[in-house]
Amino acid sequence: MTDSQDISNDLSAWIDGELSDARSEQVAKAVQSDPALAAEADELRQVASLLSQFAPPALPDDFAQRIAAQAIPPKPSHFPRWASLCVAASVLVATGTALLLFQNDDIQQPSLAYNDESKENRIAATESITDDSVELKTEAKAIHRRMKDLDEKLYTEKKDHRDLEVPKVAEELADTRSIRPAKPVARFPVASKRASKTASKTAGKKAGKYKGSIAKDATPGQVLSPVASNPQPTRQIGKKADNGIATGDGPVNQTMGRAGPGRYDAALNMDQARTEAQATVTMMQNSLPVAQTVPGGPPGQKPIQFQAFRTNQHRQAKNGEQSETVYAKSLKAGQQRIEGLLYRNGIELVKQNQPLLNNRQAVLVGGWSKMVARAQVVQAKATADTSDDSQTDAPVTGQLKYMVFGGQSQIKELRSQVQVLNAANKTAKAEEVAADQVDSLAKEETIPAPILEGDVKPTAISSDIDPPDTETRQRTAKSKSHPAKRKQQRSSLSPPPVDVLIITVEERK
Amino acid sequence: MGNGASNLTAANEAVLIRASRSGCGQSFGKLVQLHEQRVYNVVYRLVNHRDDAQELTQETFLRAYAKLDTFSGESRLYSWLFRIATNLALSHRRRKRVVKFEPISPSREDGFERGIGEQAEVARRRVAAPDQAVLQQETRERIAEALSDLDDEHRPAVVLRDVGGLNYAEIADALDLPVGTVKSRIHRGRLLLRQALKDLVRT
Repeated sequence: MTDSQDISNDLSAWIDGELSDARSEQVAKAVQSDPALAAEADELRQVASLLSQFAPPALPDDFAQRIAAQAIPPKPSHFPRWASLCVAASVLVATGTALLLFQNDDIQQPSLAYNDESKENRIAATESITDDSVELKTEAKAIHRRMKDLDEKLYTEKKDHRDLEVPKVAEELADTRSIRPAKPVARFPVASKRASKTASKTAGKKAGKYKGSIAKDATPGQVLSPVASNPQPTRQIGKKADNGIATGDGPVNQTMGRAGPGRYDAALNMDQARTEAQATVTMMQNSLPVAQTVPGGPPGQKPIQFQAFRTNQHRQAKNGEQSETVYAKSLKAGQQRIEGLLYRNGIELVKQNQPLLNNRQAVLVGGWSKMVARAQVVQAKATADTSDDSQTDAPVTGQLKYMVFGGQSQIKELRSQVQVLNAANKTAKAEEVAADQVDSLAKEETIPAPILEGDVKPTAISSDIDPPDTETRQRTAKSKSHPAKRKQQRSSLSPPPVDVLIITVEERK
Repeated sequence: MGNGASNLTAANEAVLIRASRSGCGQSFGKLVQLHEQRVYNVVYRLVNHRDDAQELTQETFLRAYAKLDTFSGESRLYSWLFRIATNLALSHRRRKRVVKFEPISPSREDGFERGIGEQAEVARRRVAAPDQAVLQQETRERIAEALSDLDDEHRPAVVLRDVGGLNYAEIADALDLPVGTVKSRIHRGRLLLRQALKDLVRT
C-alpha cells in the first residue's frame, strides 16, 4: 500500500475530523499538494453533505406522547374488573380445594378405626379400602359406559322399524340396569282399563316394530306378572291377517302381546319373538314354491328366484356356524327380500289382472281395498276398450278411484276417456240406425202412394230420427242442473243430423 | 443536527432516565421528544419507508423503556438508542428481503405515500420555487435509492455518521465494531455513493 493510497483511505476520516492531529496535518498537506486528492476529498464532502442535507419527513407532533402513553399506561383510578374476576376465581378455587381436602379426610376416616391395631394393619386396611373404592369406581364407570352404549344402540335400532335385534338390545339393557340399585317400580296390582292401555303403549314403543301385535290382550283386572308367571302364549293368530304379518296355514304363536307395566316387559320373551319371526319367514317361504320364477323385476333382467334369499350367511347361521345376531339379521334380510319379491310379483299380477298369490302379497301391494279397486279399474278399462256396448264407467266409482289413481284429475281423465268411447259408440250406432231407416224409406218411395190434393201437409221436419235411449235420458236428467254440461253433452252425444222429410198421410174418413 | 439532545447535558438526561425508571411518563415523554427525530431519520434512511420507519422508531423507544434498567449510563442515551434502532432496522430489512413485493405502479405504501409526504414537507417549508422543489424531491429520491443499494455493512455506518451525526466511536459502540472498521466502512460507503450519485456531485 503506497502513501497516497493511505492518504486516500483516510480522506473520509480527515473530512469528519476523526484523525489525530499529526495524521490530519499529514493528510492536509497531501491534499494541498495533490489536486486529485483534493478533488476526491471535495466529492466525498459533497456526498456527506447530500446525505445530511435532505432530511426525511417530520414525525407527527404527538408522536412522543403516544409512545410515552404506550410505554407507561396511566394508572387506573378504580379497582379494575379483571382484578375482581381474579379475586372471585381465586375464592372459588380455594373453596373447591377445601372441599376436596375435606372429602379426602372423609375417605381416609375409616382407617382411623384401626388406631388400636398395629401400624401394618392400619396401612393394609387403608390400602384395601382404597383398592376397593377404586375397583368400585372403575366398575361403576364401566356399567355407566355400557348403559350409555346400550341406550344409543337401542335408540338406533328403534329407528329401524324392521330390526329384530331391538328386543335383544332391550334385554341386554334391562340386564345391565338390573345391576343398579333397585328402584321402586310402579306396579299396577289390578290393571285398570286406562292403565293397561298406557302399558300397552309403553310396551309397543319399547319393543320396536311388531306391527300392532303388542299388548292387545291386556284385560282390565288382569294381574300383570313377569314372563315366568305367564309362559303360555296369550294369543294365537291363524289365517286372519289383521295385522299384516302372518297368514300361514298353521297357528303362529304371538307372544309379544303381553301387557307389562315394566319398561321392557314387552321385550323380555325373546325366544318366542324370534320363533315368531322365524315362523313368519318360514310361512312366507312355504307360501310360494321355492325357486319359483317371479315375473317381476325390470325388463332385460334375469328372472328372480325366491331361492336367492338363502344366502350363505343364512345357511351358516342356521347350522349354528354363526352367532344368534347374525342369524337374526339373516332372517330379517330374508324377510325383507321375500317381501320385496312378493310386492314386485304382486304388482305384475295386478297389471295382468290375475289373482294374487296370498293375502300377504295383497297387503304388500297396497291393501285389500286398494288392490280390489285396482282390479276393478283394470277390468273396467278392458271392458271399455273391447266391448262396443260399454256405456258407462260404473265400476270406477266411489272412493276407490281416489285410492287407486290418487287424484281427481286422473279420475276425470279416465272418465272423459270412457265418455269419448261411449259417445263414439253411440254415434256409430246412430249412424247405422239412420242408414237403415233411410233404406227403408227409399224402399217405401218405390211404391206410389195416392196423393190427394189438400190433404197433404208436412207435420214435422226432424233431425233426430232416433228417440233418446234410456241412458241419454238419464244423462239429460242428470245434467239438468248444469246447463253448460247439458249443452256440451248434447253436442257431443247427439248424432249428426239427417235431413229426412217425413210425410204423414192422413186419410179422411 | 441542531436538536434538543445536544443542548441537554448528561446530568439532566440521567435525571430524566431515573424518573422514567420510576414510572414517570412525562420524563420518558421528554426523552422521546428529545431523540425521536434523530432516531427516526436514521431508521428512515435505513429502511427507506415512512410507515415502517415510524413503527420501528416507536418500537425502539418501547424497547428502550423496557430495558431502561440495563442502561448503564456509560455512553450517551442516543448512541444506545441508535444501537437498538439499527438492530431493529437491519432485522426488518432482513425480514422484508425474504418476500419483497415490487409495486407495479406508484402505490400508497411507497411512491404515492412518499410523494405525499414530500409534498407536505415542501409545503411545510414553503418552498417558493416549484421547480426547485421538484429538483430537491428528485435529488432526495436519488439519494434514497443510492442508500438502498448499499449493502448492510456500509449503509449503517454511513447513515449513522452522515444522518445520525454520531462520531466514529459512537458508531463503533452502536454497531459493536472496532473504530478502524467503522472508518473503512464509512469511507468505502461514501465512495460507492459517490459512484452512484456521480451526476449530483460536482467535481
